[in-house]
Amino acid sequence: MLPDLTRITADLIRDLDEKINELALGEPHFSNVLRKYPFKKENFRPVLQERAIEGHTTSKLAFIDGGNGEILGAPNFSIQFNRICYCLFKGKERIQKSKDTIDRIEFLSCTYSSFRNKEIYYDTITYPLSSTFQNLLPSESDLSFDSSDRSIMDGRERADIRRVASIARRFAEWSFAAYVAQKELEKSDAIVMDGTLHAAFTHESAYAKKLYEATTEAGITVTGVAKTSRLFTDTGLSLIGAVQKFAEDCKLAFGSWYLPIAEVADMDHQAMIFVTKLNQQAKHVFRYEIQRDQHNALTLKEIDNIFFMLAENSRDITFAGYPFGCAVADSYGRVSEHDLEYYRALVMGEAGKQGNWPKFSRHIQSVDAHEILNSLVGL
Amino acid sequence: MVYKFAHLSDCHIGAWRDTTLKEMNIKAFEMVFDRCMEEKVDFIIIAGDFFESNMPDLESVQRATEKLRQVKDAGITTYIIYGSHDYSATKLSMIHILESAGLFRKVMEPQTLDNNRITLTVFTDIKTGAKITGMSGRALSLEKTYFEMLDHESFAELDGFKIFVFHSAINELRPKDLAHATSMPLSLLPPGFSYYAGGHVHSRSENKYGNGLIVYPGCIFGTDARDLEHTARKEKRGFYIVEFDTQVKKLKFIEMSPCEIISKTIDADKKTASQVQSALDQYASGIAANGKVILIRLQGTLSAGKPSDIDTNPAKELLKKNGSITVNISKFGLATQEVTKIAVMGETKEQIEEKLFKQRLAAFKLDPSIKDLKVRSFVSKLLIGDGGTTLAKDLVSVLRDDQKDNESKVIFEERIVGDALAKLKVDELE
Amino acid sequence: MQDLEIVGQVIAGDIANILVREKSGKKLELGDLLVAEEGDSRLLILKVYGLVYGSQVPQLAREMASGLKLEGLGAGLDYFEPHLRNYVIAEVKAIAQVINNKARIPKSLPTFFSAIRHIKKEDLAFLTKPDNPIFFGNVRSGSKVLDVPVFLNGSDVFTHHVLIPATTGRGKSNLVKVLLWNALGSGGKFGILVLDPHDEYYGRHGKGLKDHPSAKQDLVYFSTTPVKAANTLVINLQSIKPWYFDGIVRFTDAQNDAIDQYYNAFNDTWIENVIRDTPLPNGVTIAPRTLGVLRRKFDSVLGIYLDDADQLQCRSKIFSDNSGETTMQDIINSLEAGKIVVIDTSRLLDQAELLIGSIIVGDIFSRYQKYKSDGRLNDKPVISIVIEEAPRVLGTNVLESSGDNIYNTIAREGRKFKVGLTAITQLTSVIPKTVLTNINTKIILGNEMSVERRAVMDSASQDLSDEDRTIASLDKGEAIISSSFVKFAIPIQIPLIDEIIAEDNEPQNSPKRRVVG
Ligand SMILES: Nc1ncnc2c1ncn2[C@@H]1O[C@H](COP(=O)(O)OP(=O)(O)O)[C@@H](O)[C@H]1O
Ligand SMILES: [Mg+2]
Repeated sequence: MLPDLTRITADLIRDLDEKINELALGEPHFSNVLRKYPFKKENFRPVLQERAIEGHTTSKLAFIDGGNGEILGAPNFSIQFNRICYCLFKGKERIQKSKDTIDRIEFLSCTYSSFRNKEIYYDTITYPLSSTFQNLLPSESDLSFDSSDRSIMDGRERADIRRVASIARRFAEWSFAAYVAQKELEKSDAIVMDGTLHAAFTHESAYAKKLYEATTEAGITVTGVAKTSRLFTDTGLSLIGAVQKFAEDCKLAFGSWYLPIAEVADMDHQAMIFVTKLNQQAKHVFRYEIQRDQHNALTLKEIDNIFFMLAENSRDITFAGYPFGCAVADSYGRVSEHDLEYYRALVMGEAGKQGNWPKFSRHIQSVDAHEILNSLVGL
Repeated sequence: MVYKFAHLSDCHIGAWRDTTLKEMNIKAFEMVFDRCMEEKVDFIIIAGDFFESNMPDLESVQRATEKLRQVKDAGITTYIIYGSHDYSATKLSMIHILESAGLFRKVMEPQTLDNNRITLTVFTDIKTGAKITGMSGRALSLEKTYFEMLDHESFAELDGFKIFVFHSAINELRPKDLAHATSMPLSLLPPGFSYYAGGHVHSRSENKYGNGLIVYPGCIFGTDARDLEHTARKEKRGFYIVEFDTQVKKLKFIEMSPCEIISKTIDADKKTASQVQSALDQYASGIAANGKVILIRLQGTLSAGKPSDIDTNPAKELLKKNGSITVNISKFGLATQEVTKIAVMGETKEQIEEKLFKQRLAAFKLDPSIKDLKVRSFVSKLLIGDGGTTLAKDLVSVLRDDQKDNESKVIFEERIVGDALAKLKVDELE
Repeated sequence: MQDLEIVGQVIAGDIANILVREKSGKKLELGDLLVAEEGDSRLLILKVYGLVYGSQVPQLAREMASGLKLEGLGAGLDYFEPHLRNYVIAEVKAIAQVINNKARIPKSLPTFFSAIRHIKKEDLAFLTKPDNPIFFGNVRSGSKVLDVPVFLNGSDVFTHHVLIPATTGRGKSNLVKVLLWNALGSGGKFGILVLDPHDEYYGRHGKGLKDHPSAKQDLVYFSTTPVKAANTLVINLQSIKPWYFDGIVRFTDAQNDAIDQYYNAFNDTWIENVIRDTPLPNGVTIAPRTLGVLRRKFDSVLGIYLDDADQLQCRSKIFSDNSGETTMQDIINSLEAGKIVVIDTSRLLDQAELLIGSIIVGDIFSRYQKYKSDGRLNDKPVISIVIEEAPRVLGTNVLESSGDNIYNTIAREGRKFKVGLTAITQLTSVIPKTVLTNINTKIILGNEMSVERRAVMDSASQDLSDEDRTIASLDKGEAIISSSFVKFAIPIQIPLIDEIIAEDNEPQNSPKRRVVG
């Protein structure tokens, strides 16, 4: 007898509906914050039009994003291609970079495991594709991790080497942001990082700090947009979903808004967290962070101005409410399979030439089995 | 009331170097005029080329004048137009002199309407009320341009019996052997006339055109061997007597012939010179020559021997002895395989001339340094293609002219140079 | 290449379909001629065969965006950097490679990512003016007309035959007028016979060839109803030879036999004698029925009959027993003198028109054959015969049912004797391939019928397989010349005859003429 799928799925949906109880939205749930803002209608701030912002200046936003991908990998090593890019906008207009500014940094990295002091270590060496951005890459000593380092572990599991291999890129993003700020930005401009401002990895906060210091001095604000958020409310709802529901319930008079959620002041995470809807037509709301010290030094008007600039940049009709610059930086930074193929061919060719391919391939095979399986079932 | 007029053309008085033929030609003209008086025609129309040249020899003029005078005394008006031979753009012409003497009435009197259009004065014959106008012929068929300019509308209102006299070949009506001659389309003749009295074409024809008739009487005798050959081959020579009231009632061709003509072509193709010689001699001995004009043409490519190997004198002598009034044996149609120098073949001297001119002209190029467009077009019209051939022929005919009796050398030279310059139309170029 | 000139960039493709991203706002058009510079005095000429949209934005996102706009929800929303993300991709193909001012068939792709610009006058400097030039029009890039005149060697083109295929109203007649106009100005290099069933070329009412400055010398017009200065189309019966009926009127064997007998016996007067029922001198008798049928055929085709007074009469007045003796010669002499002879056949029945054509064409052809054997052909102008609705004489069904005719013969071997056809047709598909391939130059005008386009393309001198859409979209006066005398199929804009006439007839003061009595 066939399973009664209709009934089964009906049960499933009914149960889920019960579990997600929006009657009690609760409050943002943080384990460790300086200050939480409860859901209150009066906390919503409209994203103002420029003429409503006194002393408004149309400032620039620099969007930073990067990507990396594995060229060759085995449980004990991972060769990566990394790329970090930026783009510059003033409202909806893209601004040409200055001539002598590097618009991207690209490097290869090799992360490998080694055994020291009875521990497994992951070490990474970087290979810039151009010497011009040699000094924007993280130092190798910062890229050496004890495999039992909490910041790289996946729960209780020893970290997967690929996760470690991506850290170099994450560090370089901070450095590159500082570089961009110095080269292209001026007072009251802002940097938009991809993701939160949480410098989660060991040694990472030093890179973040360098950026904060450099920008604070210049009157530039560091911010971040997170496409996904793992935050919850204390009633177990997703924070983003809850805010969306709450906003609807409030029947706000304005279509775009921002709502402060929490102020975080950790060693590795110093941020004012908002949820914002950047366009009336937006289907999504986003988590948006402003560096805490910088935020606190800003006037409300200046904060309004940042959201205004962001909203102006989020009026692309194909993704209303999402900063266009983020999409552009993402597409620039993204590493394609095509890129990887290219470097893979080079690297393998060299390995062949140097005669050590058989050795590498033995280790690679242990991962490859998966791919072979996939190819067998035609995936 | 029915009237009648005579229509003749191409008398070419003064033509022929051969004195016998020259005399026959004038005689033919005298016969025609005598007949006109006999028939008591009301008037005579001469459709051009009355004389062979603008200034023919005085003996011929004297004979012609006498006849014209008789006709005039008989109360018959003679209407005339110039032909292509008897007009000169720069010189006085005998026609003009005789007209001044009142022997002729010239019926071409152009009037300019505007820069592109002309019309013609219409004359009314007092006796019959017939309306007469016409267009003279011109060398190089210059009259075609006049015809193109002629305003047809201006004749639309005319009533009564209307005669248009002209001296041009008509494309649609000309005989096959005139296919290469300059000619004009029928549509250039102004429509609506009752009778179109044509000249220039040496053979006879009658054609309808609208409600009228286009009539060519042909030449009365002929001016070259070809004309005589046609006569020998049954082309009738003479003129028309036309009876009319408001339209043509009767069209009658009056045949006139001052002598009998015999023409023979001896085929020389693939024969040896001596074979042709004997064929010629044999033919000469076999014909009744008494009182006849005899024309013999040797034609074809000899298989052996040269044309000069053939002696035509014995045949000539024989025919003369047998009473022929004149004998002409032509070797122009002969070619030989031995000497291929003769590049062209033709029937008559004139044709051969023409072909040679054409050949030479084909290689002629206009000097590229002549930049003025007007000059270029003038010169090319005059020298290239048909224009060039006609000019060459005209010049040769001018240069062929003999010194007249009583004409001093200086005057003769002046006349020849003047005539030649006229043919070159230097005056038109300013 | 100057930045300002750039209209696109090569981004992908293969030799048969190179993809070029259009620079925003450059609005490439179907048929545009583009250039990729390949270094010093080397360039590739490309032609646009297709245009498609390209977008960085996924289809669904675009649909959504449009939805927002259409439903009035998109206020304040726009495409950011629209010119970067939504664009046009031109599908182009290299049609010629130019190296040091010489054009060749291209065999390579443009350099990857080459910048592309519109073609310029200088790029086409290799299109020089040949000997015996005939102007066809200016080079056209899409619908833009370049200041580059296209001249072909008229002698080559005319002797190797010309096909002008197009549906009605696309400019065939205008093109023929333009060609004739230009041939008129060439000083007698081309003898062109135009059989004009619509009486549209001479300019009887309004402007036409008669208004050409050289018309007086070089244009001859024949009509059954001539205007002033035109010739009457009247043909003497004696000019008609039995074989002129080949392929036009069908005779049975018995009838052919009778015709042969009469022609042998009476020569040029054979038709008259058939009609008069003259007994054959050699005692041969022809079945009265056969002669009866022949007489009826002559009546229906030539309009010739005997009236009650036993006079030969012709209903149409084109055939005559006493005038028009030199008409055929006049026509042929004119052609041989490099003139243009327009024959107004508008009042003739189809068969009579074809017969007249056949008589003239047959005569000129045999005359030129003779010139060739005499070694005199070189001095003679080239002859072209313009025939409207060419399938009437070159159609497969005609050739199959009535056998070979003079046109077919000329199509096959005319070029050896400097005699060519200029065939105008709406239907190319009904002309046999063998004939089409003999026609070297095709001036292709617009055609909305795909079968016809196919027939033209299949027989062209260049590979036109990609031109299908282009040909379908050709506007009035836009054409493509395909010929072995051009290096590539050249798109041209044919000028409008009325404009040429106006231009060539700028009022000038003609000298005053003296007319004397
Ligand atoms: N080269 C051209 N440029 C502009 N218009 C043209 C051109 N050729 C033709 N036409 C227009 O198209 C119309 C039809 O042209 P026509 O030559 O009579 O076509 P067809 O003979 O193919 O039926 C004309 O009336 C004319 O106005
Ligand atoms: Mg047409």
